Formats: sequence, structure tokens, C-alpha cells
Amino acid sequence: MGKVFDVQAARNDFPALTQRDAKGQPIVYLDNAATTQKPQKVLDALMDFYTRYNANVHRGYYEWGQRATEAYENTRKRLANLIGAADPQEIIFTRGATEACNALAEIIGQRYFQPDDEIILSELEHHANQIPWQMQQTKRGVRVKGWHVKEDGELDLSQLDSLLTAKTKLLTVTHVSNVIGTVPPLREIIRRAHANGTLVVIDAAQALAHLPINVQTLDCDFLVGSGHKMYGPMGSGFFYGKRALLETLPPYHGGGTMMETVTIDSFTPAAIPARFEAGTPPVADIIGLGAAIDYLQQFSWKSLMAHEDQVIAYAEKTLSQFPRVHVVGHPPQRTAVLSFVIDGIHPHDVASLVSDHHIALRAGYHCCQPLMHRLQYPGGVVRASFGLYNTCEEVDRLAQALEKVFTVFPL
Amino acid sequence: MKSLEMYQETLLAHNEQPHHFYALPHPSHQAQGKNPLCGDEITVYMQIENDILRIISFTGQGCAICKASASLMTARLEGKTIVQAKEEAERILAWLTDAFFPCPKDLGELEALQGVRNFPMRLKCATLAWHTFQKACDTPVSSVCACQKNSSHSCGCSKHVHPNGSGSSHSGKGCCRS
Repeated sequence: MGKVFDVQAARNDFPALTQRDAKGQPIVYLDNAATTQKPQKVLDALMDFYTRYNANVHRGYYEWGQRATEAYENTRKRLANLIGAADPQEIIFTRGATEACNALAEIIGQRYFQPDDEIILSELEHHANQIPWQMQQTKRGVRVKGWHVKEDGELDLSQLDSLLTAKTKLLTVTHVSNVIGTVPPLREIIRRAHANGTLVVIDAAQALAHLPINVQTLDCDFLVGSGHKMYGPMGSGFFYGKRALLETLPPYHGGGTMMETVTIDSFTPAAIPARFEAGTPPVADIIGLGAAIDYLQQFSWKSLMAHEDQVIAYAEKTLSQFPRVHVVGHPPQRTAVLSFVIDGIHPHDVASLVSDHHIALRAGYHCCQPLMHRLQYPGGVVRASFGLYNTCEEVDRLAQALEKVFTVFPL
Repeated sequence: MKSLEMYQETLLAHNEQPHHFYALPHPSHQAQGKNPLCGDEITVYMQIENDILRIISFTGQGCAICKASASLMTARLEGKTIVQAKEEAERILAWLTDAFFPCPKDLGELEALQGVRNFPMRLKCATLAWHTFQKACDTPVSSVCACQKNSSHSCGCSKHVHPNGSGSSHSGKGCCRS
């Protein structure tokens, strides 16, 4: 901790970013909300595992098996430390944030949902944190209620009190919107939900790489994260749950590791976290996630956030200078994501045409159809999403590329 | 290969001022097509009389490639017999999606879609209209509800039965095109 953030040095840590196009230009990678690039340390950790101690966890009594288990469990400790969990056993590994959301919906649903119970879903949610809860409607007869955003894309706290009823079992909300970059007032939301006896699940997939999180300060009951959006490997994810709650929940998948004793017609589930980690986990990817956390934690959040804030503020200012460009939402705190639309040019055409200039943007619904409909973007939006290695110079290259796009589609 | 090559003059012109871009008031056939991941969405309307595609039009919203392709398609297919139109759609779809399909000699303005063939990610934009045309051929309007919810939805209209079976009551009034 404490090292001052040097963006040029950081860029050199990411081999993919050192590539050059035919003109000798590096790629401008602005699709970090979809997945981040991986630093060499993460790639080394993967290679190290596969070439030096590839073995399954929690089983082998030989040295490789022990090393694999140790490295895997070390990621649990690092994650607990990163999000301020009281106990590493409160971290459950999954293959991604989507699997984590599905697992939580199923196990919380099995244990706590009764017919006619209500679930509050914010309109900012990614489909991964909508559909698993919607599926509980048919499975358990619960009812999903949408917490709508205002015209500016912000959640309206004053609406929350009328949404929370005696039947509201659970509320779920994102930590950072993957379309607007908004950070909802989580502490206040969680306080009000808890006052109503409502459980809270936070989707932190889009947040973990960009801001410090402390689950104890937040007091959330559950939190979901993705490894590959925080410089770790694809195939790694997790959820956090308060120990007292996790201990009340049934297993998700059946298989090896998740049981204590098995007879031919019954089993008893294992203690947490094993109870929720059936079968061979993505061991290498979880170890790689540990390396990603180490990588992130070498920087101070203060210096990292100062850098990212500067770049995204510059991006908003630069793009807003084009009369044809309209930035989506104006959150008081914009984290890592800047979406926009351009008069007279469909988002797909924008993303295709800037790719000619070696710029990676994303266009479409961004897995947020309800939000797109609410904000009235039937064709979706263009999204530039940032990582620690992005610079103001890259924003300038984006602006230059957009000027060329304007000439293809003159107004 | 530059994306810019997709955006040739003809394609841009058809995007800017698409042909047949309106909702045909009393179509004999109609279908809606969607690319759910990106939001492209078009409706194709047709008037088929004596097995001839007398009128074809479309509405909807999508990227330049989607819109231009729909516009080019309507210009291409209108006036053909329905058998010819279906064969033509099949041939153009094969050309768009199969790299080994010989280039038709009579492409005319459709040549504007040539560039899209090199961008697999954008092919679905170009093919949407053609697939929707194919769907419309199999969707006489007697099975389409004006509420636009198409066949997955049941309505209580006395004038027809939706393909998925007889409907339950529906809040819309006079909801069916008879």
C-alpha cells in the first residue's frame, strides 16, 4: 500500500496493452466494464500453477495438492481482506458473478422465500442480478418489484420507503451501475432495508476494481463479485455472506466437497464455505484472482481513484464538447463508466467505426434492458468504460476518432 | 479490413432515406424480428395477392446496416412472386453468411452489403430484415394481433385464434386485424 500511482508504469504491467497496430499505436481499450486486461503477475500465477503444481484442492496429500490448496485458500484470505470481511470463511468462490447471483437467489430462496413475499430489484441492475431473482417468482411464488430510476438515471431514495413492505424479504442493488457509473447511497439503502427486516444483496462486480469496499461498514448481508472485471482471470468469482446467515442456507450444487457424510440415500452438508463449493473449482483462476488482488493492493485507493476520477472527468468534459454527443446520466460520483449517444448515428455504427482507429468501445443494451427502456434509449447506448491503465491521451484519441465518425454520418 | 468499408455510399443513402419505410395499413402478412442483444428491431409488412408480393414495407429501429439492408430488401423483393421472393431471400442470406457461396452476378444495389460479410459481428444486423421477411411469409395477419405481441400471446378476440391455441381474454379492444 501507499505507492504513488504511475499510469505509464502500470500500463507496462499489462502485456496485451503493449501491442501496437500497423501505425505503431497501442490499442485504446475502453471496454473494461465487460472485462479488464490481465497484468503479467496474474498470467504468471496461472502458468505457475499449471506448470509447477497443477493438482486438485482439498484432496491431495502430496506436495502439489497441498500447495494448490494453500494458494486457493490464500485467495479467500486476500478477498476477505480486500472487502473487509470479518472471516475468510464468509467468502464463497464461484465461476463468476452470474453464478454467484444464481446461487444466492436459489439458496436464499429455498430457505427464506414464501409465496407472496416481495423482492425489490433496482432498475440499475445487470441482467445477471435480475433474472435469477425473477426466476424465483415461478419457483417460489414471490413477486419482484422494480425500484425505478429517475429521469437522470439515479435511484430515488424517497421511493424506497413505500416499496418496502412487511412482505419485502430481500432488496438487491448494484454498487456501481455498468451503464451510468452511478454509485447508489448504499449505506442508507441498507439501513432502511434492515429497519424493515429486509435482507440486502449488493452486486459489486462493477465496483471492486475501482473503489474500496468494506462489507462490515456497509453492513450488507451478501455481496457478489467477479474476478475478470478486477484484472483477474475469467472463470473466477465469489459471493460474500454474513457467517450467521450463510450457516442457515442450504447447499446450491451437490457433489464432492460440499458434504460431510454420505449414505446411499442421504447426505449431510458440509460447513461453510465448502457447503457451497461442490466439485472441482476453477483452482487456477481463483489463484490468479489472488494475484490480481495483490496487484490492485500495491496501489493506494486514494491515488488510484484520483487517477481514474481525473480520466473519467476529462472524458465527460471532452465528449460533452461535441454538440452531437449526449452523455447518459450525470451522477454526482461517476465511477469508471461513461455512456453516450450521438445524434443521427446508431450506437453500433459508432462502435464499429471507432474500431478502425483501434479503439475498443461497446454498444447496445449492456445487459440492462429495463434501464434502457426507462431512459428511452431503444437502440442502446455507446459505452466507454475505464480501467487503471487508461489515460487522458486515450480520451483524446477517442475524441479524434469520433470526429471521423461524424464525417461518415453528417447531420 | 476497415469497418469503414461497410459504410458505402449506397448503404448510407438507404440508411438516410430508407425505401418502403412505413407501416402498411392492412397487410396480409406481417412479422416482427429482433436482435435481442443489441436492440435492433424491425417489423415487415406485406400485401400478397395471387401469390405476388404486391407491397412490402418495414418499420423499426436499428443501426445503419440493419436499416439499409431492410430498405434494399424491400426494393429488391417487391413485385416478385412469393416463390421468387423467398428464393431470392434464401440466396442473399446464403451469400451474406457463407464465405464460400459464389457472389451472385445480379447483386445490383445489394452489393452495398458486400462489406458486412467481412464482419461476422455485424452480419446479424444485415440479415435481420431478410429473416423477418421469411417469418412474415409464414405469418398471415389473421394470426397477428394488433397489440404487436405476436404469436406468443393469447387474446380473446373472436375473429381469430392465435397459433398457440385459443386465447384467454385480452384487455385490448378490437385488437385483431381481420
